[in-house]
Amino acid sequence: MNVLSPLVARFRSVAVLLLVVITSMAASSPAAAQQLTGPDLFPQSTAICLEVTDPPALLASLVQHPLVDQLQGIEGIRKALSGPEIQPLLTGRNFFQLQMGMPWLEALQAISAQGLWIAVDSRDQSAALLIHGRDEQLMQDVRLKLLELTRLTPGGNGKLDTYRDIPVYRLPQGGAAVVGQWLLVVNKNEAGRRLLDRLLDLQSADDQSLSALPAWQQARAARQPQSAAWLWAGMQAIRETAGHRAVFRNQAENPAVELLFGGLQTVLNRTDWLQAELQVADSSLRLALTAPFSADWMPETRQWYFGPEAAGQVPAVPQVAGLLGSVGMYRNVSEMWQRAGDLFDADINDRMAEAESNLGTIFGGRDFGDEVLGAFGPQLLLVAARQDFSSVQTVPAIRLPAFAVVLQLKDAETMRPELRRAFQSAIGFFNITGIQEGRPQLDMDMQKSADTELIISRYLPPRKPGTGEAPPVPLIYNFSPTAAFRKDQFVLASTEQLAAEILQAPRQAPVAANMAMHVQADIAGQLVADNQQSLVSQNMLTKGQTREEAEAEVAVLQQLISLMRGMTFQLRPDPAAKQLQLELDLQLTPASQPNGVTEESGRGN
Amino acid sequence: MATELTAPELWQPFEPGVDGQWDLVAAAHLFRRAGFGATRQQLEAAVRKSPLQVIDELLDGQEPPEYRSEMQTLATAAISGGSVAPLSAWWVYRILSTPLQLLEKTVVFWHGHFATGADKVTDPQLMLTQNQLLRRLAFADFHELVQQISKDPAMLLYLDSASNRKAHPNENFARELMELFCLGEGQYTEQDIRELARCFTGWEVRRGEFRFNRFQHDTGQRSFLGATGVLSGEEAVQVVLRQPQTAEFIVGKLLRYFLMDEPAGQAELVAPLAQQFRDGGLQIRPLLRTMLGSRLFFSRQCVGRKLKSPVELTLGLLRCLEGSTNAVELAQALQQLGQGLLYPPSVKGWDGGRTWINSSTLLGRSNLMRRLITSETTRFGRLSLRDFLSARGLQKPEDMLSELQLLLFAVPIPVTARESIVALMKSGSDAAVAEGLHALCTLPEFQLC
Repeated sequence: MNVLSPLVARFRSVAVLLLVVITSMAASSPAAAQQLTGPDLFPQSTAICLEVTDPPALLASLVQHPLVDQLQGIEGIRKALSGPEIQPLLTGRNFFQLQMGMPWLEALQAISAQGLWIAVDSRDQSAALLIHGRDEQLMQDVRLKLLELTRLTPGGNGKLDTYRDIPVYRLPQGGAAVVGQWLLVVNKNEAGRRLLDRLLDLQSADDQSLSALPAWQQARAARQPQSAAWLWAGMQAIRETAGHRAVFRNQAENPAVELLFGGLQTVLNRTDWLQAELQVADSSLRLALTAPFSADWMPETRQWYFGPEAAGQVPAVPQVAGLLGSVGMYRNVSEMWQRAGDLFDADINDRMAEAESNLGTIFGGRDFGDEVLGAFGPQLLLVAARQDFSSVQTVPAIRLPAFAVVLQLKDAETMRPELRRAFQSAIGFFNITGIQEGRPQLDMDMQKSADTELIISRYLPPRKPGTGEAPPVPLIYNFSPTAAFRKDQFVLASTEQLAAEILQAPRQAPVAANMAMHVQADIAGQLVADNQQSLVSQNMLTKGQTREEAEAEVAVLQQLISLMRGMTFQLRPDPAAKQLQLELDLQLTPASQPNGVTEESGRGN
Repeated sequence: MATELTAPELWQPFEPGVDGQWDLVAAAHLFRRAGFGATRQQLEAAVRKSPLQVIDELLDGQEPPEYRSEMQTLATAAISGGSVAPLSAWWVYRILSTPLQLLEKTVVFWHGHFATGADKVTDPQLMLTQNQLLRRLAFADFHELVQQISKDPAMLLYLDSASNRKAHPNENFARELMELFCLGEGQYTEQDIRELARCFTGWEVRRGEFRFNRFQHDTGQRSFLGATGVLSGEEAVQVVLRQPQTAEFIVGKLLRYFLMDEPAGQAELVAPLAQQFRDGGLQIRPLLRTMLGSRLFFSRQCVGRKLKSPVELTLGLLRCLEGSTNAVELAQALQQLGQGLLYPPSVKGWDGGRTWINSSTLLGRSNLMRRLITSETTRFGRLSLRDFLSARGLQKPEDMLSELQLLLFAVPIPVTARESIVALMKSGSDAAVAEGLHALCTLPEFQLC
């Protein structure tokens, strides 16, 4: 077993490429170019530019990150790292250290001491890598020692050449060169010539530089100082090159994509630039994407996405026990449904019309888009929680989390009876098809208190077999579909327990976001533990492993989950600041407190 | 040797040194037929014993309790999702890992004989229950096997006999009991079917279990196959089993399954063994012992005279080379090749023999073997194929080929094919060795066992 095999294979090819790249360096030393940065050298036709201003710090923070120690503490990963597949990489690393006369990390830090940039030019889709080394002498040493290795490598298809007296290493596609403290690698010859010319001729940034572009300067101003890596995308150049792609069209692939990303599609079509930042801390990894934004950009057909003045906010999440995660968003789904003709193609519209016709039957002939969806407020919430089977006799063999949709009713008095009837009709219909397919029947119940009402359906328990062993309890016993009401709140849940809890649970502090997702890692770990037997069996059947091997793999999965506390994703439009931000935040477990699979933070069994 | 012997003499026990050599090649033949194939280690252990000792171990061996428990746990997990497909994968895994190959091979036989398809019986628990029944009684008393399969819910559902009422007796099960399960075609009349069906009235399946509904049972007198009386379903099964053709029918099918696809002079060959089967009270175990330990079994009439089924083709390769793979994908692939475990094509099961091979399936078999050999999840002794062979001291392509000939082939690999495959494997890389094995698997000789 080697859980790292695919990574190793990929990493190996990257290592070989780097080796060839560094080996291909030849030297020259114009002093002027040393004062420049990558964006001064890249042209204004650059579509994407990735910048790592301080690679030594980034390398150190990655290599010395507590997560690395924690990962190496996992037995399965430790075994994989000492396996035969990793050996070529270790051999390569040792050879590199020997040649450089210093530890590999130190060598890499020295080689990239003054920055690293990668850029893609929209004119010819060429890619360039620029690395600014510590000093010229070091780059010379690197060149000489590793060039020797290149000569020892048989079958190479590169050749040494010169360009304006600069030795260059040419490959069939692109090539590489060293100019003073700079290492340049390109995938197209013409792009290489352009960059070499600028490296040799330029004294300081000029009006042809990417750094002189207003869209770049605006993005640069928005950059956070603690960013370890920063990516800029010139959207105008990208649209000119890739405007035909689906992401830039005004029609979505399907309603789910439109619901999640429709508004962002508009932003992509309007914004001049995007920037993404990576921030690395001991307790988190954060990726933030920022773009200029204006509420006025939203056409009438997509006003439903961000809401009036782009001020729509997600609902607060109920603090139910065993909360696995939630997805909240502000979306006027009714309006989206009614604007389907503008948003989707004919095929999707036909299918939506068919769905509307069928759903209209369940909702007593009401217009689904206008009267049913229109009866709900625009704040949507999907909640998932680990189930508590401790008080249940029929425990399914595979334990799924419960989930629920939480909505707000605009007119609770009118809609309550309508939704109650619709739910009862749906269960009745489900029971009829269930008889035909041999499924157990759902039994209905109702619970009312002062301000809550639950319409519950439960599967009749399976009959005990007359002879032989009891069969495993099927998957469907994870469900007891329930509709619940409290004041103007409507909950449609997969279990009665979750529905009841959502009605009663206090709400978490509201989040100022248009869309927010959160996953709780300790509960995910408990779910894996709940289903360990099933996962092990699945692993044995799909990988042909023995039980011991399968258990080891599942244990690695559990341990990996235990290294995380959770993950959040938020979409935050800020019309006042004329900015939109997408943020993905991975919270890590502090090294001293491995998360483990505990019962305290979730439901008990 | 064997062709000059009379039929009774052919069923005499094989005597090593007299009837032929008991060596690695003979042992490999035994394991290919009385299972799916053996590793070199198993072959070397086998030749230190007598053939009958090995056969007795195959017939009388017990799966270790921990293995049985493991398989039960795995089966429970496989059916917990409510679908039969994972159960098919479970059976593939079981065949690959069982220490009792002959048992699984015989269960596959009975599954084809008492064919029940999961495309119709979609409840995985019922399919598992039937599979366990076949395994429990695979070597037992044929009477008991037929009696129990007659009340098996999956079987009754498959034959539309889940509700058999006296006003409308369902003739389907009665017909198949005689035609497919016990007697064969032409051994009964339409009147026999009608009368026999009346005996099974009141037999029902309710909530996944067999139930006898006495209010729907026809209590009138009936007459079929020479028997007359107010016969219950169980008594009716006994009447069918008492027919002398039963032994001939079952022995003939077992002969074609274990020994040869197209036996010359089948009636003559079958007669002495059928007599033994009848005299022994239709006990399956001694019948198999005689067949597998016979002169005929080890003779040229038998060796290399069967076409491998898709199950034998794929699982045989893996078993011989200590292979493991993605059982889910393999189960699906077997279904595409026409031998999906738990998915027989019809109530008649698989015809076997030449029907496994046609222009379409030949290409399908080749493609499947390539996918199997090159799959990332396929390992041999937990290693890559090349490392597996290297670990056994096989570095040169010629040596590898000799080992694969012994383990995988019932007949010699032609010299020209041998040379071209050695050339294919010459670089000794993982890919070259895998390519060489795939080339071997596409040879006509590899299709035989």
